[in-house]
Amino acid sequence: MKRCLLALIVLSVFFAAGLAFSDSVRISQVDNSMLLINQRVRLYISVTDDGGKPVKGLGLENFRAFESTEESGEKERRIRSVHHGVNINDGINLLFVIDNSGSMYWDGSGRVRNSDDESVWRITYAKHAISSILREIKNPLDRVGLVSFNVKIGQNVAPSGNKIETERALSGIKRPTEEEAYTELFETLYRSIESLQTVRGRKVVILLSDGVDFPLDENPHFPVRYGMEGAIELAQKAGISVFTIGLSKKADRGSLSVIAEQTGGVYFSVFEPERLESLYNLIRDQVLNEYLVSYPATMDPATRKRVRVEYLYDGRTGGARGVYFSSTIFGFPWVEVRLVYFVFIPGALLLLFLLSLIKFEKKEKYASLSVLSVSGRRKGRQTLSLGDTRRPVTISVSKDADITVSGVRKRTPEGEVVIEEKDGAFTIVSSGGPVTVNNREVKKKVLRSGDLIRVEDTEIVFNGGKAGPFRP
Amino acid sequence: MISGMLAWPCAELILYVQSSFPTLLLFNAALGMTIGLFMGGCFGTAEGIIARSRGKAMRGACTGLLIGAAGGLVGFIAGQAALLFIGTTFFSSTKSYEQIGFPLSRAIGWAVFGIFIGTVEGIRSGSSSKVRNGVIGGFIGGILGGFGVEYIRYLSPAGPYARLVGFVVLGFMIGIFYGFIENRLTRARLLLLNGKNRGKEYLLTQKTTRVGESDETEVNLHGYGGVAPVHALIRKERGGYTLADAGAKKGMWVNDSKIEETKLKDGDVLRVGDAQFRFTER
Repeated sequence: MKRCLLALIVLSVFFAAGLAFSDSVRISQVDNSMLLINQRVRLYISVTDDGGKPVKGLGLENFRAFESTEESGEKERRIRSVHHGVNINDGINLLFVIDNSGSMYWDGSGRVRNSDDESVWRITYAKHAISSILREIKNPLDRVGLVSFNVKIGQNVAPSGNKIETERALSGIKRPTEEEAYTELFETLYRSIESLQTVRGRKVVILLSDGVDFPLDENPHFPVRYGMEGAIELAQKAGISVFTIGLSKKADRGSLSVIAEQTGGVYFSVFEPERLESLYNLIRDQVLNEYLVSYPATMDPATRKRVRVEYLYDGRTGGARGVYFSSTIFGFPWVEVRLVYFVFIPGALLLLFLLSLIKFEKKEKYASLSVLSVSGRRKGRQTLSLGDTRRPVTISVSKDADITVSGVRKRTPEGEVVIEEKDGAFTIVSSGGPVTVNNREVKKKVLRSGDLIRVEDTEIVFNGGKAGPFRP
Repeated sequence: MISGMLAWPCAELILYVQSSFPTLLLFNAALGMTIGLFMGGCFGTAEGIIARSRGKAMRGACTGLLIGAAGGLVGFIAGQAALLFIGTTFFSSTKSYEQIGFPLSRAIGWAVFGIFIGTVEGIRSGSSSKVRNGVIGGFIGGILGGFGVEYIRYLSPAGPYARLVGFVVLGFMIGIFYGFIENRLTRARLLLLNGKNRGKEYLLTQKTTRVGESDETEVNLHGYGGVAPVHALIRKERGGYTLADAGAKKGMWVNDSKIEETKLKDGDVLRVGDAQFRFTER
């Protein structure tokens, strides 16, 4: 009995030790922007102890990285570098998203609800906390923004180095009216994340709410709804971490913790608004002390790849997972290569050879007249062969002419143009006014192959092939 | 189209051994160069085949191979970069994004590739207008052909020939739109009015267009009598086009008047040896 009790105590101690010596590891962001340049995937990893404080002094030996796809099993990748505090050098983009619903104007306990004493309001503590953060930020590369919301988005300042603008927005947060007494938490979060998509660098959203998502039906401010899942997906693809703070017992712990967990953030449950300032500092501290772990990605074809990180330090362990996009222009390869597919190569070369034999030439035995254009518009192939005619060819506006031209400007039906053949030469003769050949007005001309004849609005080309037998 | 048939099996082979490549960059470089090689080579031979000039076809093929390989290399890498960037934006599990997002991002990758392939002829002939036409035509052809590659594969995901069909469509589209854009954007052209190449139109896209019997000329009059190897030059200048004798000593005529050099007007009839042209300018 004593032995059993002793074993139980020892086991409990070890179990508790395991719990006590298990750090929290999160992949905040997976960065594949260097994939094409040097095949590297970069992971922003946050390691915090059980007090939420960042663990410092970690190196290559403390991390292991594994990659897998849907088709292939997990492969360990050799980590090439571990950098600490990169966000300090590069700066971070912090976006505070604050609930501005009616309950934020209650006191911390929720018992005092209609007080005009601003000092007890939850929103006042939030504003002070953010102001304090703004004063503490000294790194010129850090950028801060602010979004407040209830039934709609109120203040909306994108992250920038201009802290005065953010302060001004903070002061501009006003008590909502009764009509504004809704909480569009998920839609606001989606749009806040959306606004950060194209911002470069490390991006963090800190969402503060004391309640639940309470949307207005057919809210004109949000005609399209994306929901919590949409917001999480968007944050994942944009590599944005969302830290969530539930500021009362009534806060939606379930949703807020899922949002944080799935976006590489952390959920904090806070009942005393006075703690907000230290909490914001803790979050900022965690982000600033993230590790940048770099490893070479596998070349296994996949639309998306899964990453798993193992962490070991001083007997403490941890792990985290992430995904990133890795498709190629061509997509996936064949399951197997068949030789028959290569038949297309000689087939194509044969086609090319056959194409080279085609003569793109026109051969006409006899001379001909082709109508080139009428009233400036190109005509299709309208050709009159002169080789087997037995009489002169007439061109005029008359419908009885061999070639009827359009446009009655100078010519009467009696004034026609005639092309006659004699001893192999073709001569154009105009009985009415002059006719234009090669832009020159003539009454009579021996035609050369290629001569361009203009009669009224019609252009005709004479092509001199062989003169055919002209039997009178 | 022929270029698509040539490039497809080789590209598929490279894709099959993707895992063996050390980096994504090398993989895309190999793919791009292979596809560009075939497409550029085929585009380069087109002029020579139409003109039935073996020398021109061979020279065009060699230049096209080199430029196509280089263009394919750059285009594919640029396309892959665009795909990674845009793909990250569309990285979602919703069906609509998979139906639109991925094909769109891949099509843009193909469009970038198409731009480079479209410029092959322009670079080969040293014509900035042809390069411009190639960029526009190649982009349009690439993006439409890219959609073709994607949606044909979507319709037949397990079919091994889906990509071949898509590839042929891609080559076809690039060629079609290159020709269409070139035709629409070219201000001046020569229409050959007589002889064995009667009806052929020569687009004046270069700064200097050479007319003559030699294979080197842009307006090739092989088989026409009385034509010197390089008989005339048509220069594109500010305000219009000028026809000049290239030292042929055989003379040229514009509207039946012998000239040595003259500014051309829309509708002019030019005679070079036995060949007659109509000059058109928009």
